[in-house]
Amino acid sequence: MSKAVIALVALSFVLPLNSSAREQDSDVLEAALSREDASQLEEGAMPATASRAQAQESVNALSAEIQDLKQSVIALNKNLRVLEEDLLFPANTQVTVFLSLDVGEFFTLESVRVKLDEKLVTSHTYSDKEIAALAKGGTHRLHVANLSAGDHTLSAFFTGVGPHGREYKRGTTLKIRKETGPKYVELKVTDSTSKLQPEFSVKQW
Amino acid sequence: MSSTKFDGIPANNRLLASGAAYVVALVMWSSAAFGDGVKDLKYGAILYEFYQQKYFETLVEYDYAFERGGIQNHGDYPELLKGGVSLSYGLDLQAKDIFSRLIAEHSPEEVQNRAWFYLAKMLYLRGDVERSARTLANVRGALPSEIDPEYRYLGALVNIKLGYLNEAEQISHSFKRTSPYAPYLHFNLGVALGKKREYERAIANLTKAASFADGTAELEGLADRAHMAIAYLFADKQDYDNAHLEIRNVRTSGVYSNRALLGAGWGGSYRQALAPLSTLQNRSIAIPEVQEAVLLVPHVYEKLGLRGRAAEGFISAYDLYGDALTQLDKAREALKEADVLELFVQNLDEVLGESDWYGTAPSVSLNALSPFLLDLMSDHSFQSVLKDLRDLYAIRNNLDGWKRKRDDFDVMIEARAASIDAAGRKQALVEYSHQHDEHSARYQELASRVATLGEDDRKRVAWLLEGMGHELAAGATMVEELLNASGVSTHTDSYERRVVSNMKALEVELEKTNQMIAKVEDVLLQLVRAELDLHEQRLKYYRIQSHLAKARILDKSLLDADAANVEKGLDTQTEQEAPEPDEGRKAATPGDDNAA
Repeated sequence: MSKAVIALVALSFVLPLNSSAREQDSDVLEAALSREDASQLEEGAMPATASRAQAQESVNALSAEIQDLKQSVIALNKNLRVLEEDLLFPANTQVTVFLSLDVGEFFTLESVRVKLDEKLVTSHTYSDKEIAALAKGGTHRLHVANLSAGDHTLSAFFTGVGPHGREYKRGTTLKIRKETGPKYVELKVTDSTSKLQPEFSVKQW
Repeated sequence: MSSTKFDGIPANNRLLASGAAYVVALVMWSSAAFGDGVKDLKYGAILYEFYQQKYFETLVEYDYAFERGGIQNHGDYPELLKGGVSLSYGLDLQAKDIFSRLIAEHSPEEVQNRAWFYLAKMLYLRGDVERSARTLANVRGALPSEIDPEYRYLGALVNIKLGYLNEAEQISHSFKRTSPYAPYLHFNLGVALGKKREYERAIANLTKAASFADGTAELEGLADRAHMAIAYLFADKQDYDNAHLEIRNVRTSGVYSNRALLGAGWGGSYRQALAPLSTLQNRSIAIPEVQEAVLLVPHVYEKLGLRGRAAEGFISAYDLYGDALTQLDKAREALKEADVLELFVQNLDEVLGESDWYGTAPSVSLNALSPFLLDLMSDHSFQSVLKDLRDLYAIRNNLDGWKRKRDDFDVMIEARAASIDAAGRKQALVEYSHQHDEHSARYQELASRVATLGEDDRKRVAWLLEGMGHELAAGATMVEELLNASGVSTHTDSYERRVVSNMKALEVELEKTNQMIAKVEDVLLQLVRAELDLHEQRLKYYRIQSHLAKARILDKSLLDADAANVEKGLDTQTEQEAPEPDEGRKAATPGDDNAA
């Protein structure tokens, strides 16, 4: 934003130190690069300025095409993702596990492991950027799986830094019932201000 | 000036923003958009991508959510978010459509205000400041607190661009120190005032901008720029002592240090000039300020009367420029290597992020190229090309990734036909069968109740009952047949068709992407070559200068030597012609050879 502005400043106030009060310095400048020579270089710079303006014009001219392309590719990505999901996780058997975070004071999440019916199905270690995204309200689509209809057990194990900067490990388990149609489950990590501890829960949508 | 200015709105209702700062505000407002929490997991998944600034993934996630039934209970916010993200991802046209639609649909005032704001911002970023100002004027009442700082900033910038500096300064007074836009506003305002030779106000704003330096690279860099700008302003009003002092506030490392060191070299006596110029001299010769310093150092020696050192310096400068020209040739060679532009674009952050980058010696082809492009990197047009190119490379990688999955899709179809699909389908059919049984039971119950009605009433609903009976029977037959069906080929056929059609679309998009990359790479190459030409021209010029200076000193030395010899000769002659009185006296001594 202000990079362009500083460039303007530099152009506006270029070669300022040449007064009689700094005659010696003027000598330095003039001897190393006389005014005539300087103008020669400035002329040399002109093609560069022109080429930059020309480049901007060229890119502007391509802008609409680039935007069309981006939109098409976004639509194609959506189609391919839906197709992949339809093939791998048919709606009737699909279970999606999300993770959300509403903490900061009592727990800093580092990683999570998820088991379905005692079998480890996924684990994830969160980057700082991901944690920040979760803390602001983002929800991580942690795992998509196929489950047959009926009762199942979902367990989640959280690792991170808890109160007083100590390593903190906690697990939570929920019985879920898979019926016809996709199933959504949310693992929630929240601060409990009354207990001054983090709380871990599972919500079925 | 006939343009719209912001003079009628209370100061706290003015604003605007750009660049990276915009992202911050978008994040802030969308935080407010889910209030007590996400009410739809699909929206949460969109926000998860968005908050990581993965704009492409955010837009895909958004389309996916709408394919899967849309987002519930979040009103117009998801669409507003899409508009904002579209803007960040360079989809101006899509963003404009979204914001215009939200305005036309008479959405609630808050939504309309946000839409006007982002439309105004988009126009400002495109350089259409007049229309941006008019669009901002449509905002009614106060904007929500989370976007108010950005709104004020936009308003101030619009006023600055339109030349209404007093109004902009008035807005700046309403800024809270905690506003993330405050440093930038004071900087931009200071620069604009400086260009109008409003020295005091300019320096006050720039000093304030510099005061926000908090140790982060971003604000420290801004402070460096502010100090440089102040130094220029002092120099412009011929206050060289203060100019020199101000330059000393610029850090001696970092992107803006080269110009400061060169300025410091010019800002004092010859002796004082040596330290900053020598520091510069040890940096990469690819930097224009270093190229100049290499020539200035021996010149300073010459002025100080240290002719030997000066000559040595000019000789060394000549060689350095020669080496730099060789490096330049290597940079040109590097341009011919495949994928060098993609490497350059992908590694741009690392290249710019290296704090000691100036001191590194170019070794691999990428490093041979990058140092010569530092000035170009700060140019808006260059950045614009880089941004497009980076997006296009990412798109190509994305499409390549899907292309590699072509075989996976076949496997998925086979697997589905063999197990997953069959199992799921059978399970669904069993479920339908159970549902049929339940409905049949309820039908029987209903039929029994209808049988108890009076004749007229019974006749009135009989046809409905009969229709339901037929539907149930037909459903039962269908489920039975499907349960007994031996294969699921029809189903997989439809998937196969979808795979083929999507892969065909993928090939088309990939081809278009490659063509577009070629076009934008051409633009980038033109820019890079022009920059390298400029370096070459400058280096050759300095090389000649150093050569001439060396020759001049040697000539002068020879002349001086000649003069000394002549003088010496004359002295000798004089000595011979006019011996010292003692010698004369000596010579007059009888028996002396000389006297003979």
